[in-house]
Amino acid sequence: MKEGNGLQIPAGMRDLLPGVACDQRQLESRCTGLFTSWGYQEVITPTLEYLDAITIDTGEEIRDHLFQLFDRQGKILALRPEMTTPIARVVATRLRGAALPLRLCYAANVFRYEEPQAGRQREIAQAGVEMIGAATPLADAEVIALAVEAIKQSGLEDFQISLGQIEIFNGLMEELPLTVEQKSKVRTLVAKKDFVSLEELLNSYGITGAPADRILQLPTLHGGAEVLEQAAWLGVNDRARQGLENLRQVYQALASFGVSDFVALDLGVLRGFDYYTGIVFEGYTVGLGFPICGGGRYDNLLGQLGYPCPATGFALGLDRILLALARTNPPARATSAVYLIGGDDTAAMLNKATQLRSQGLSVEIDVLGRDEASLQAYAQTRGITQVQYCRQGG
Amino acid sequence: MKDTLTIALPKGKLYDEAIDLLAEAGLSTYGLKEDSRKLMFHHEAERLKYIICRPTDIPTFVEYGAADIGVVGKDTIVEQDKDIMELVDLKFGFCRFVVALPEEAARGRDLSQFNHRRVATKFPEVADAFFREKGMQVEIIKLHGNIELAPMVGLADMIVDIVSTGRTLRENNLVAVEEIFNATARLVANRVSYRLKHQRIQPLVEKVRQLVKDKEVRY
Repeated sequence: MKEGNGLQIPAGMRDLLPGVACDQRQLESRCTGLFTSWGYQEVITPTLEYLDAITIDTGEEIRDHLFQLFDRQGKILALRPEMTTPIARVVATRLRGAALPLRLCYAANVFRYEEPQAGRQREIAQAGVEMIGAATPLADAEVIALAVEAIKQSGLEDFQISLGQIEIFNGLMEELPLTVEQKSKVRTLVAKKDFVSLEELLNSYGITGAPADRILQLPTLHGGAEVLEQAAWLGVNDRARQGLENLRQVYQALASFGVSDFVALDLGVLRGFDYYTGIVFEGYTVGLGFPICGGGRYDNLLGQLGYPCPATGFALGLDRILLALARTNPPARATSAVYLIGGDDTAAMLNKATQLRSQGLSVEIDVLGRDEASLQAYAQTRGITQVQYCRQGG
Repeated sequence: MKDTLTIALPKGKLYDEAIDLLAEAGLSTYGLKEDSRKLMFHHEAERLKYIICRPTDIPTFVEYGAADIGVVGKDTIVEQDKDIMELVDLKFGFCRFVVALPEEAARGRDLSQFNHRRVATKFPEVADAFFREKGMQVEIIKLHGNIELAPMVGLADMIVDIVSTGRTLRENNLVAVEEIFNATARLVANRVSYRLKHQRIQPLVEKVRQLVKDKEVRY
C-alpha cells in the first residue's frame, strides 16, 4: 500500500462511477439540448482564470471560498467558482459588438471551498444560461420559464421557483436614515436570514413601526398574485415602486409562458445584493434543504468589465437535482452493454458486433477467449441478457 | 412528505418550555413529555413529526431539511454558522455569554491587561470573534465541559462561558468581567421548507410570536 494521500481524493471531490456518471451526462445533455432549442449557444471557458477576473464583481464573500494557486510568474489563479463572471468576460472581450441579445449557455463544473456535506460538494456540476443585452420583463420571464422547463425535463415533479425583486428591498433601505456602515450591518443580517437579530438591530438604530415592519415582513410575503396587493404598502419610493411594478410584469409574462403553477412570488428571496439588480429567483424541491437552482438580473456586471449591458440568467445545480431525483424518482438507466459476443471465430465476432452497433446497440465482445458456459455465467453476473457465441466454421 | 411538518426539539433545559409553547400555539404534543427515551414522535392525523435530539445538532437537522423548523438556543446557533432562518426570539432559556477571571487575578485590573493569555471555552467561535473585535490576541483552548476547572489548574488564565444565574462562577471563585451578549431560545426554519411549507409554517410563526409577546406583557 502506498503511504500518504496516493489513494485518496481531496475533501468535497467525488468520483462518479458508472451509472451515476451516465445519469449526470444525460441530465447535462438534456439541459444543453433544451437550451439550444430555445436559441442559446453553448460556450466553454477555462477552468482556471486569473483571480482578478473572477472577483471583479462578486465581492469579498466569494474570496473566502476560492481554490487559489500561483502560476510560475507569481500571478494568482483561481478555479472558477461560478460561470456568470467568466461568460461576462467573454462577452465583454471576444464577443463585444455581437448582435444583442446574446443567448449563451453552458454545462460546466465550478469549484467552491465550502464545508462538504450532502448536496454541497466542492466541485459542483452546473448547467445554465445567460441572456445579455435585454432588459425587458419578457427577457426575465423567458429565463425563468426555461429554468422551469429544464427542471421539469430532468424528471423532478415536485418543485417550485420562488420569485423576488431585489429593488424593493433596496428601495426600503434607501428610506432608512442610516450610515453606510449601519446599512451594511442590516444587509449582513438579512443575508444571514437572522430576523431576530435584524429586528433588534433596527430597534437599536431607533427604527421601529412601519419602516422596520416593511423590512421584517418581506419573508412573509409569499404566494400568488395576491402578494402584489399585500406588498403595495412597500412602495415607499420610486425605486421600490418600480421594483414592484417590474415584479408584476414578469409574473404576468410567466403566465403567458404557462409556468405560473411552478412559480410563487416571494419577497423574502434576497440573494447577492452586491450582484443582482432586479428580479431574483431560486428553485426548491421537497426533501432537499438546499436550492436546486438560482438566478436573476445583473445589469451592472458587464459595465464593470467596460461593456455596459443589461443581463439575466440562471444556473442549475446538477448534483442537487440528481440527489433529489435519487430520493424521489430514480432515473432508469442501462447499467452495461446489452449484447455480449464471444467465440473462437474472431472475424465472425467482430462482424456481428459491427452490425449490431450500427443498429445503435451497445455491444461487448469477449477478449478472454471464454468457452460458451463461462461466457453465459459472465453475462449473468454483468446483467447482460443477449449472448451470442460464434463458433469456428459455424 | 410535503404535507408533514417536522419539528426538531432539543433535549435538556429548553425541552419542556418548547413543548409548552408549541402546545399553546395549538399543536398536538401528546406523549412528548411522558416518553423521555423516544427519539421520534409521529402524530399522523395532525401531519406532525417531532425529532428529539441534542441541542447542538438542531441547526444541522434544520439546515439539511431533515427537520423543517426547530427550537434552539442562540448560544448554539452562533457557534455553528449554519444556513438557517432565525424567525422568532422565544425569550426563554435566557443566558449570558461572559468573560470570567479568577477573583484574585481580576482585582484591580481590566481585561485589556490580559492580552496574549489563554482562554478556555466551549465556544471558540464566540471567543475568537469577541477578542478579535477588542483587538486582543489570545490563545483559545476548546474544552467540552466544566470550563471553570481550567483556571484552577493553570490550563487557562480566563474563560468564556455561558451563565444563567452566576452560581457556578461564584462557587469556583470566578468573576464575570465582561458581557459578550445575551442568548435566548429561537424558533428556526430551513430556508427551503419555509418556502415550500409556507402555508403551515407562517401561521405557526405568527401564533408563536403573539404568544411570546403576550407573555412579555404579563410579566
